[in-house]
Amino acid sequence: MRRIRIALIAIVAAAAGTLFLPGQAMATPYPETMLPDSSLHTYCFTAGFSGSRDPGTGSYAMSILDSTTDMTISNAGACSDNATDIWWFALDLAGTVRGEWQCIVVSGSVCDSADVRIDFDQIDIGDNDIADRDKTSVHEIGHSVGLGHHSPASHDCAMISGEIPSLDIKWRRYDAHDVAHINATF
Amino acid sequence: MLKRSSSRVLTILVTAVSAAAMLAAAGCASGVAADQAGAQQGSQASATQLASLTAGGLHLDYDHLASPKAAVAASESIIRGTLVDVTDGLTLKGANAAQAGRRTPYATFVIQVGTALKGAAPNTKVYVQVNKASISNVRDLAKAGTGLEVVAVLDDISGWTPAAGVTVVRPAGVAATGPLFLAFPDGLWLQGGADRTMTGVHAEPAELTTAWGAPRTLSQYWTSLEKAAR
Repeated sequence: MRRIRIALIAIVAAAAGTLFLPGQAMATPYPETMLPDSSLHTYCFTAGFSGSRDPGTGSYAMSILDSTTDMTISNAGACSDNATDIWWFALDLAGTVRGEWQCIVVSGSVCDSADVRIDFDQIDIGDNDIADRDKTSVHEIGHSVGLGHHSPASHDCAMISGEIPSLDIKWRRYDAHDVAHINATF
Repeated sequence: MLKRSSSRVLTILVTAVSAAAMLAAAGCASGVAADQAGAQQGSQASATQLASLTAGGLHLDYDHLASPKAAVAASESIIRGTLVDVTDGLTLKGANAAQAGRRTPYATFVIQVGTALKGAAPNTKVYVQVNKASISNVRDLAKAGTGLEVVAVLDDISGWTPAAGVTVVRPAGVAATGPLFLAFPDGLWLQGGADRTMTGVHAEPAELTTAWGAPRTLSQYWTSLEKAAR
């Protein structure tokens, strides 16, 4: 009887681990979007993005992916190759859209190349503009590596939609749970 | 006897816990695949399937409609009706069109209006622009979505210029002048006869702010708007 009880406790503990690990955040599915073709995420800035008010936010988002996950990045230079994973654009997006990630070139079930489009005017409505731009840029790159919208129902991170609630750095980072998913895949 | 009975209960418990763990693990690892499988098993008029087709390979970050009152104030039209067709959406042209993206596809959701809180008359058709994934086509969207009930909070983007040297070309069926309606990302909700809850194309119900009162069905969402419009 004691052996059965121990076995049961072990199984319940394992089940709890499956439900709540990694990290203490609530589990989210993965991938929630299409995955990229490899762990190397190449990117380029279009002329419009390079000439925008804050091209540095693109560099910021790429560096966050590189420094907080097992993925690596590489600046491809000019946007001319449809194999480059991310093309950055700056423009006025319709309505209340702040930024968007759209897969352009699909290969099987993975996304070979995607556009990330940023609307600085829309993002700069409200407070904390610089941090808010960085959040949206990190957010769109999050979509490009398989993440969907998370906050506030599951955990606090850059995958929240809309303006950041505060200057807390967590709104410009991926949650540990998300990072674990990414690292397990790449 | 008691020992055998306890053992059987434990066996059932162990099996149930193991199954729950496996289900949780499977859900955590492959949510997209599970969603797609679920959609395929549903009826053709599945809001989940339409949303998956429309937004697969496309995700938006957007500013929220902060409350029902804010939605009423910010919108040009608010309608409830039936999705009767999905056709090609607006396109962009001009010397600098490439600056707006390699492809910027939209679909037109044709909605037969049942009732409107503002900006439309009952028994008319309203043509709504919706951001669409570049990898989906409107025929599939029409097949998946025709017959779904819809509530749409609409913006007028007739003055929209994406970038210098880029102009918007209205799709067929939309008047050359007057409003060009775009659904707010968190203002387009659909529900089919077999659906227990509403589905957003670009937003999830959990993303609605607390001021909305956590609506889970189209009727609850509509009631919130009705109250705000009084």
